[in-house]
Amino acid sequence: MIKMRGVTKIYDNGVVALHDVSVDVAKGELAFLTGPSGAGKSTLLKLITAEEPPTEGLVEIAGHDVGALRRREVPYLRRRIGVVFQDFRLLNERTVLENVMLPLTILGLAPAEQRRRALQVLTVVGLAQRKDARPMELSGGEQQRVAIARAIALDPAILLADEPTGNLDPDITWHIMKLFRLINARGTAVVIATHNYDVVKKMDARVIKIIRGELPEEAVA
Amino acid sequence: MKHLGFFAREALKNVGRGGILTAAAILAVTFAALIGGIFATAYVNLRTIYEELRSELYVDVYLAYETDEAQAQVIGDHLGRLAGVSRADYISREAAAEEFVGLFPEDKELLEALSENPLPASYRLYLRPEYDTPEEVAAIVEQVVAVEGVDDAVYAQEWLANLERAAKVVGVVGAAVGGVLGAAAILVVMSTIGLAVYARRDTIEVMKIVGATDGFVRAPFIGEGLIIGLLGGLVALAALYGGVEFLRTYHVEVHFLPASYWAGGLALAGLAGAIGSAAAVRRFLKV
Repeated sequence: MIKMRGVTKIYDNGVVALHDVSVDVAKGELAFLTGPSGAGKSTLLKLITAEEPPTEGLVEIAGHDVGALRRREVPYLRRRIGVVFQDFRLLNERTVLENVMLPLTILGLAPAEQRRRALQVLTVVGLAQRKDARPMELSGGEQQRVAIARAIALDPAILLADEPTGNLDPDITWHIMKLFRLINARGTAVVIATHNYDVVKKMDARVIKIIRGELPEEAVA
Repeated sequence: MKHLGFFAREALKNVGRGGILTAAAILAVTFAALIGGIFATAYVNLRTIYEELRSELYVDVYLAYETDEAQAQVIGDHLGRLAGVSRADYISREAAAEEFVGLFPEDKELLEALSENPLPASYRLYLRPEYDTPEEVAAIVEQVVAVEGVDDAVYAQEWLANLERAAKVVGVVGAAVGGVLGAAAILVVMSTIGLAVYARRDTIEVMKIVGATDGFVRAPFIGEGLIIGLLGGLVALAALYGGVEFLRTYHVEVHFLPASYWAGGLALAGLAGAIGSAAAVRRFLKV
């Protein structure tokens, strides 16, 4: 599902974020991307969503070379990838339901269908009853569940999470992780970037270690 | 097309939420449109006066003082056959004297004190509408004065030419000033909407992350600019209409802009807003 070969990313200011990275993530796999802050976790995720182009190497998503995509093709790639951020990135002037409906609106579904599917994913994350609330009225954990609902609204093939529990307390963190496992069980490949090793240990899933922009333990064919 | 309702709702919401920035942008468009509108009104009114005068244009042809009735008849036949002349009305010396007294009754004694009527006989030539540009009138007059027995030919040439020139100057200056102010309005709309866009850069980023195309992100902002432009244009038109009505209460015969002018102006104002907005949002699309 995700294939990276010899990927190097050097930012305009000369910082080498990734160096000669090769890694595969299979369809329906659950993987943790771990490493200290500044190791290159976020950069690796940004390469997958085409927010940043690789300086060198190949990034392939579901068989498509991301580096070769034209600018106007990028949105269609992103519709197949759900993304969850540490700071939730919800739109506070919209209700919970409207936030979750946003990707469905962009897709151009009929309003009734948008509503039906948004309510469906809100039920999956256990927040259907808060659909009319504004994000600011919710707790941190609830906001992250809304963000997850938005990320899976289009039933993506891949779900990326960048430090999704960084702002949450341990109980809530565990709840969110169970949610990711549930989503993964529905067939979505899930990649979670985190430096919370306690969570990683408990989850019993594949771990991709990233250290100073390199993946020393990854071996790919 | 399937997103049109969403774009319209978003644009209206954004205008509603814009507060002082939106008000400033509307005001900028209003100011530019009002100045343009004042010039357009001046142009249209000068043009109307010019057209009215032109349609009533005639040339007074004075015959030599010693011309008798028979000679006058021959000259009249000749003048009536000239290209561009629709009618030649004879004004005898006696009729000229009567007209003079009619126009200046207080000078009646002056005329009576003279032993002989000093006014010459004349023809009043009415011109065909297709021969009424200043150049064509001048060409006809040239032929008229060449006719034997004609002393002079007089018409409102200079005045008419000046009026036409004034209308042209007002039109050109108006278009130039309107153009400069229009560009300024676009810049102001760009910077005010730019600030509004900056405040919503997170929204743009989220939209792009969940798969929105540039066009999808841009459309509501363009709609917002269009609404701002149209509102500014409408306020300017209302102010202009009010101004015209105000002048009319003082019996100044001013016409309001014809429909094609104000509709075109309104469309231009909307376009200026949309362009300003599109340019502003462009900077934030590189996610």
